[in-house]
Amino acid sequence: MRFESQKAAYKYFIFTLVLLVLQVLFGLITAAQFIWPDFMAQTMPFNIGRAIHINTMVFWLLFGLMGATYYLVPDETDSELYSTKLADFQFWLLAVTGVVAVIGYVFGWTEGREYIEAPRLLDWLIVVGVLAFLYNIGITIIKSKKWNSILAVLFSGLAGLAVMYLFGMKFFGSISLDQFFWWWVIHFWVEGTWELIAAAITAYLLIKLTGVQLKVITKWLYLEVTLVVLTGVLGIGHHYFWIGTPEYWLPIGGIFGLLEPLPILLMVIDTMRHVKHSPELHHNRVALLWLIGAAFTHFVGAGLMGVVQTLPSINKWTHGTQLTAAHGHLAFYGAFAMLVIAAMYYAVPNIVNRQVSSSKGIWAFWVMLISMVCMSFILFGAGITQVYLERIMGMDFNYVKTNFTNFWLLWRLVAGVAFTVGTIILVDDFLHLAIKKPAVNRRDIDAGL
Amino acid sequence: MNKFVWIAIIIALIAPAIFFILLYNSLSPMLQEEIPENVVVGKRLWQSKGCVECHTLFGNGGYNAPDLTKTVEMRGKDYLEKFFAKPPMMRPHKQRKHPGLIEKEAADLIAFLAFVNEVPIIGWPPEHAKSKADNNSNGAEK
Repeated sequence: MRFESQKAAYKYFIFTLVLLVLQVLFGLITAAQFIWPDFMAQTMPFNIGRAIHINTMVFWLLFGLMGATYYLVPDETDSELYSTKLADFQFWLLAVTGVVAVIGYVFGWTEGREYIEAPRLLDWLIVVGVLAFLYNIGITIIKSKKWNSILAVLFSGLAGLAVMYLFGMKFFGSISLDQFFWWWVIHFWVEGTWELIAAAITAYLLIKLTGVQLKVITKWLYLEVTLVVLTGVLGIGHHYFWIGTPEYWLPIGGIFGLLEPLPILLMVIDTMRHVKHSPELHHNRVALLWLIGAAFTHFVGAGLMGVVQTLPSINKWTHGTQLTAAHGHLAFYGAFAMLVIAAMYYAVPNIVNRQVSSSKGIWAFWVMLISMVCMSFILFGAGITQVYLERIMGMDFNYVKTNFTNFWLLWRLVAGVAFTVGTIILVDDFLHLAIKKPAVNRRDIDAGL
Repeated sequence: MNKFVWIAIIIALIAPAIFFILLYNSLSPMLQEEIPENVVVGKRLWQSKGCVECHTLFGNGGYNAPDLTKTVEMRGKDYLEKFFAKPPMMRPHKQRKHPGLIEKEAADLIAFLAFVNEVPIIGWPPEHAKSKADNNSNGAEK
């Protein structure tokens, strides 16, 4: 760690883990409710549990990305953060807002739109928090006069993220308009602005972990960004197939949706190329493992599992089934969750000035990855079952659910339990990093010190 | 390097340019559409009750309960009125009934669902391949 103010990231990372645990917990409850509908049905009904499951995810990913940004920016600008007090203020504002939102959902205080359930009042607090964040980062970069490619891409991604959130705040009487702009938040986040942020953070971590030059990374980064914008903007068409919008979105969404895996594939090639030809690999192999895993899972979950459903002729059969949930789980996990964890594994040991113990991080990596891949493929099976029985045979939703899909969803719960075990290992590893006394270096022991 | 960046920016900007043209074309009829007051009230109710966390509309939502895009057509308004007045057990629950609504609320929500029912979506959900085949064979017999 070169600058004191990089420590601002620490709080964000800790809260990231708290929310991750909450997300997994509510995921378990809702997964169980698919199979045993009356399980906790009075205390924590499915609709509330699911709202908390998806909102804690959005929140922890945002906290993780903000933490990574606070760690990265001083490093790239060669300067201290503009204000660590502002970073702290912003942390508490957003953290309290997040907690209030979750408690609010329990009491039915919701705006009732997926992923952006936070009520209007909390929306405004989130806007204030995000503006404070952008101001802090922006001033730091401007003052340092060091606009490099990573900072430029990162900042445009973050600014875009904030702008898109505004489109989710308005109430529309028309359901078509509602869906039209709801997708601006969802699609332009995960297939647009978050991709830019992910590309920038990946580039930063590659430089740190493989020793590749910024000059080399820059070319890759700009190519990736060009492709993200080129495919992602019109790729929103694949969400405009069935919401009452004109028919020309069918070919547009299909074609540009097909191209959307390209920038992700480029990120995989970029990552592997630099890892293979690395002049000197960083000793922090755990962070490197998570970074490589993120690139591949991002491609499979977001790229492949999305692209198979993007053509309108296929999408009309698959849309609105568990296939979407299959894609959603692995995409979010690979594209953003694993990247945030990679950034944490790189940054946290530097912040607390301790060595990461490799075994737990590697265990967490494999347990979480394998269980999430299993969960995703199980949901894929459930989705295919639904397509065949509901869409082709015309059977009733509830009949198919109780008699057929629940077979899959039981195994999904098993995968969920395994994922929870992985999460516990991960959190335990970070707790040890944060709390335990500085580890005695192995080499010191060998040297008899 | 600079040339590279400029080429990248220009190529990347083609997509947003096309997008904004289509945006104008798609949005102008939607923005002019008059939405009846009770439909808007019904939509607020749909949101405040968090219906989308279990159900789906246009296939977007919680995937744990049936899609309601065409429910008015399939069930009829009378069925839905009775459903909300005296909610049945939520299948496959054995203990929990579907949340109910007072008459005014039910009327608004049904107005909203009737409005959703009429939104022109071409091709979704697809006609069941089986029922299509049945219809064809019936036709042949006649």
